[in-house]
Amino acid sequence: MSVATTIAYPLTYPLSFADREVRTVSRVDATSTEEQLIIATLDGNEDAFRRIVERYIDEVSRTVTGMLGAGPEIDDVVQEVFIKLHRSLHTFRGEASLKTFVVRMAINKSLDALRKRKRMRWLQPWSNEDPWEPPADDRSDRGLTSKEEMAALRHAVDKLPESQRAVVVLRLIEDYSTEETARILGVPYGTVLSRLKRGVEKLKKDIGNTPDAHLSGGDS
Amino acid sequence: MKKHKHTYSSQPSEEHGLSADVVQSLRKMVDAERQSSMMSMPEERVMRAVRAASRRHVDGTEVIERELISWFRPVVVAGLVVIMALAFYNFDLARNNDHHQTATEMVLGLHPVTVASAYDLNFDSH
Repeated sequence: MSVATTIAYPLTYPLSFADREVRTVSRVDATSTEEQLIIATLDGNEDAFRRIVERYIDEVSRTVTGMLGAGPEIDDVVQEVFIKLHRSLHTFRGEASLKTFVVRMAINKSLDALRKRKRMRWLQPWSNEDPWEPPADDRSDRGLTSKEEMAALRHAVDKLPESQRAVVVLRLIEDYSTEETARILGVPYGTVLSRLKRGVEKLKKDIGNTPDAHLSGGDS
Repeated sequence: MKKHKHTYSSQPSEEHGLSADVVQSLRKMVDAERQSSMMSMPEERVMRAVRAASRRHVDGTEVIERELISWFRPVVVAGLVVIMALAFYNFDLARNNDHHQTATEMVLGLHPVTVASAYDLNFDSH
């Protein structure tokens, strides 16, 4: 079985955290570094992985929500991201930050969920399912954007092609730099800029066409 | 879900061509959607899901999957070698006969078909 496992991961790099000799971290706390948490997790320390989850669940859930919009599948996608992270930590080379690694997984899982959603719509065209709506008390205004404005914005974001949506979510909503966005998506810097430009143009056009056109004027 | 508010590293600006207020509204929209979509204690649920997935992993479904993936490449390579060897053998065999066959027929080892042989009902000869 060990031979088969070696063949199964031919691309595991020799300098991955799994192979480092400094695997002495057994206890972790809030001050533990990213590397210590990874090594401890690979050593089977569940508490270390829990700390990784606590550290990045905010970024992951916001990225997934930005890509998919409100819905019951958000929870499942977030869980899938961390399950995948747990399984593939041994392939993490440490060239980029763990945050980049995790957010990339969040984007990929979100894209999978979007494709699954499209397939389901195609397979069940007769489905008369109402769009998911959050509970009324959770949706109350909190002094933020109104319900209609939010719906208009979400509609505009949902109309963006997947590649542009990912850039808009990471660059504008999640506030990553252009370099970070390029690293997360694995595309050149110029591609991020062009996708952002096209995405913003489309957003402006769609927001301008909605009844809540004052959004483009920015009165939130 | 924790009720803490995420702080962004920069204030929205108009450098992207979208007004700062729209960017701000987008961020508020995502925060509000997340608050309403995520159930309480997501970390706990994630850890439970990871534990369950690890158990399944140990149970063997993943092991079979990995085995299949690991065997895929050698099997494809061996299959291609066998196909190439058979094609070469057929071609070599057909080259020595005096039938005028196309290269495809030679490689596939097809019998020469003529009008006469098509009407020949003696199946034993084929």
